[in-house]
Amino acid sequence: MSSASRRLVDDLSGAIPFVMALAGWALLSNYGNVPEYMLPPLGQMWMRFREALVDGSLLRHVSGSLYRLAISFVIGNAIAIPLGIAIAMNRNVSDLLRPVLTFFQSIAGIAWVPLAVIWFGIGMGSVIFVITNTIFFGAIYSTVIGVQMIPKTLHRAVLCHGAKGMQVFTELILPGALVQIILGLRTSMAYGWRALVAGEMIAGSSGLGYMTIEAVQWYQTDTVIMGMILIGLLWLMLDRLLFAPLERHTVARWGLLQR
Amino acid sequence: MSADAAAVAIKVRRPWFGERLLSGRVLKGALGLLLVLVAWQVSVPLVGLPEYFYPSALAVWRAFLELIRKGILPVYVADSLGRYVTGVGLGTLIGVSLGLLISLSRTTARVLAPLVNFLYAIVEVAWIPLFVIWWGYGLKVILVALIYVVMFPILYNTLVGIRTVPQVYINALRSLGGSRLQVIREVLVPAALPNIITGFRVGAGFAFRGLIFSEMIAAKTGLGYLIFEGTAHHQTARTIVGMICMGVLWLLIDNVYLKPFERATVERWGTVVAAEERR
Amino acid sequence: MRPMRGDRLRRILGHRAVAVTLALLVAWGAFSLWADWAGARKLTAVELASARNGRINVAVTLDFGPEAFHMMILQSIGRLIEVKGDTAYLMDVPVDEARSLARRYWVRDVAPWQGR
Repeated sequence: MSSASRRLVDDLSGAIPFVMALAGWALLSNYGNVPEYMLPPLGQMWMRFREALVDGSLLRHVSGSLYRLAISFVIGNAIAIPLGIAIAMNRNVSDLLRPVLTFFQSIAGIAWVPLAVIWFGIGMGSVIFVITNTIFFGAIYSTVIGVQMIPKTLHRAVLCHGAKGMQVFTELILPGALVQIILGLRTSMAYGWRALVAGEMIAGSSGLGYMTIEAVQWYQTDTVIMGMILIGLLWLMLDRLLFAPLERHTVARWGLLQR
Repeated sequence: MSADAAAVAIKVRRPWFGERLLSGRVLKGALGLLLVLVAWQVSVPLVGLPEYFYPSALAVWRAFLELIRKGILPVYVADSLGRYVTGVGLGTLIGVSLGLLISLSRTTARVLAPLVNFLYAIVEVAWIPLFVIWWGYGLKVILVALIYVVMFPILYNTLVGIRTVPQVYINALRSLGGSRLQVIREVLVPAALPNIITGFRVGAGFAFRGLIFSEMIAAKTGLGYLIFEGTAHHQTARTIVGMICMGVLWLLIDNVYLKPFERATVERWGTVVAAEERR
Repeated sequence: MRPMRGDRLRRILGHRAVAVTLALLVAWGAFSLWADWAGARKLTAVELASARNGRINVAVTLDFGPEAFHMMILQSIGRLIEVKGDTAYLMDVPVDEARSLARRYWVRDVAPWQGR
């Protein structure tokens, strides 16, 4: 078998479990004794999907979620990374603040939702706050670790060669911590995504999480499952199409990551 | 004394707990926490917002004492911990069994992998609405959610671990006359064990957050419920007590049980990649 | 030089997880014993003897006004008739539930009550 056709077989065989799962689903929902609210038939799912697509609600929810995620990701990292570097540059300050940061990282995300509701009410403000909060603490933690992980000997070597102020930053700190920072982008995004879905469920007024939990009240299992599939697909796209290549082209290429 | 005898006589001693407690770094860390608390307390009159909006550190301390005095906090913590341990235990059992079952045949593992990947991409919080439709609100839903949250990273990592076992080892055992069961026991399981344990740690972490989340939605006791209930009754100080307890509890679980376990197994067996760097 | 058994035991006990778990278990055990003793003092065997059909009416006095949390517990063990100040009056409480209620440290006293 040539390599091209072997790849084709590989890709096709990747679809097998999905085909099997869908077949099993169709069988169960149409011929099994499974009530409709537990497992809606495939046909109904498809109809629901088209409905939501046509009346624009699907687009609204998806774009709302992605928008909130993007804003929070940018703001969270934009504040956290410089702050993290600043904190970590001074050994005393970073020793002082490490436990505090560790503590905040452990309650990141979901625990802040009720507090956010008190501060910002139900809706976009709360959700953005919670996601930004999650990403902020995740990113600052990674950044501080990244800077602290730079070997002391490198630091001394750079100073030995006469580097001053800004040069230490651009020649040592930034490249040295970059690996950890980029890895931190991916992990903070993973937590941020969960915070998004959870936040929208509790405190949102639109978005995929909101759509999914609202449907529970009306026992609209088809909407719930549709929401779940979309949440899965979106995360796959974000992770595989955005972060994995980023990691591949930077960290893995620089040989700094063992996989 | 000869040099050899002297070398044997020198023993390396690990610093004991008391020494590590008083080391410079721990003290500095404690000072940092103290500074944050003081800054918080001082900022309250400066900010001038009502107590339910921005409670002071002292108000939170008083709420903490009150919650203990009234027996509420210990019960909540015990309930949360009970659910957590049960969920993680069952989830680990199911995850490991399922993972090994699927990897009985390498082709099965390879075929099912995309489905597992996709299901894994559906964040655990997203499954909760479905579970609620299936089983209503209450303890069962929380346990199922926890089991699922723990099971999946373990299952996923088991499959990844099994997949990366070099075929030569399996071939070697087979050519020496090993049965399929022996291949599993002697090659696959040991090779995948570091991955399984890392998956366990990831799952335990997600499970803790999942626990708090599902308690917010579907429980009447527990830390997550406390965090939620405080804001519902404008007792924000109680909410913050809940958040702090959650943080402390997680730090305890992670540092007393999870990290040492990983260190004693995975790192000792030579696959040193901190779980923070894996998803 | 083969490691002695004492060394091995010390190594296991030295593990943080084991030490902490043991300490927690010991603390919990001690607290349990204390609770049993305190509970027996609040709701004495003599008072329990007034039970009929294994059920007893009790007046539960707390150190504070009961909150939703406490009401939930009280309602789960018997019929909550009324709450006067810091005291809740229940009827038809199974005897072991009454005993375990008395064990709780936030309950000041559990006394039999003639009911209504």
